[in-house]
Amino acid sequence: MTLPEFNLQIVPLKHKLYRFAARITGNGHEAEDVVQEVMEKIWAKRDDQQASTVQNWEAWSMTLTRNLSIDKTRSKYRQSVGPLPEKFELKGSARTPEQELETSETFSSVKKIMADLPEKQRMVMHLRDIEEQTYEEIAEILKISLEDVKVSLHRARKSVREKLLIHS
Amino acid sequence: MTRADIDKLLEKYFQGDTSLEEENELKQHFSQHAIDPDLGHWKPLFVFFKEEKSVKMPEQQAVNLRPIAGGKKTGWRRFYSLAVAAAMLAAFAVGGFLYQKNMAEERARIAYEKLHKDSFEDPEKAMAEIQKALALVSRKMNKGKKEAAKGLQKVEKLEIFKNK
Repeated sequence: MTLPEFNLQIVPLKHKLYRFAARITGNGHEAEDVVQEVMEKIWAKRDDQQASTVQNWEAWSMTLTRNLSIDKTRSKYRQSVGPLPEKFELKGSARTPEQELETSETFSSVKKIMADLPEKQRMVMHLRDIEEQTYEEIAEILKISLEDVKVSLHRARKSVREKLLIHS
Repeated sequence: MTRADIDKLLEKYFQGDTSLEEENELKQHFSQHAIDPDLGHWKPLFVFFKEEKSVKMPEQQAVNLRPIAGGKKTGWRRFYSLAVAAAMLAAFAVGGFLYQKNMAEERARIAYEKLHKDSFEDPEKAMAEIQKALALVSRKMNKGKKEAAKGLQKVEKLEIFKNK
């Protein structure tokens, strides 16, 4: 992989990788570190035998992000609601301050409910509901079976539903 | 979309049976300002999903993926440090190789000169050395011939014995 190819195929994935890493680590700063490590690793291994067989660089990058994020999370105490990235807040729109406050509060609830899900369910829900990946893509990224993807998603949504009903 | 359609779609969603298109319909529906108050508790969920997709890595880090500010070496800064260390190591390796190569050439030159340099300044001394060397060869050859003659005699005796 040449530098222009790297800039074209890998670098534009940074925001997506960052969101995924932030979802797993629960921490914006750690997510930044993860993305940098992912980029370094891909660049360092660009000419390896394994890299030459990669068909889907996006899925490969996402899998690497998952692995590094999990390593980071397990090596440190995971904060369920850590200092999430500033841009997790809604961007300014035609909302009144009351609406902003209300939205911010409800968003915090959703964020916390998602953060409290078991790791696999949280990753599956993020990839499906936020990144809009197909079941097949999720299975490839997380290296799990299609059935496992469906079961995890069903459980995650069920849990979120119950908690949202309690909150409301 | 009617209320019945939304209810049906929500049920399908929570069962994990919706397609990506149907999930997008739900996100679109709940992004509207006017939704049925009974469904208000689902609104943050779908708006959250939609908004989360627009979250970006902070520009400071995203531009060329520069290292994070601070004393700790992380990311590309660590990468550059390793690159500098690797370059220095390579320079030492190349230097060492060139030094070894020069030494080997010097040794070869000295050996060549020794080989091709005349051993004697005086021709008479040289002739004496040659004669001495040839005499040694001659003695060894004569001794060899005698040993060969002895061996031949033994073979002849055996032949005679065999023919009897």
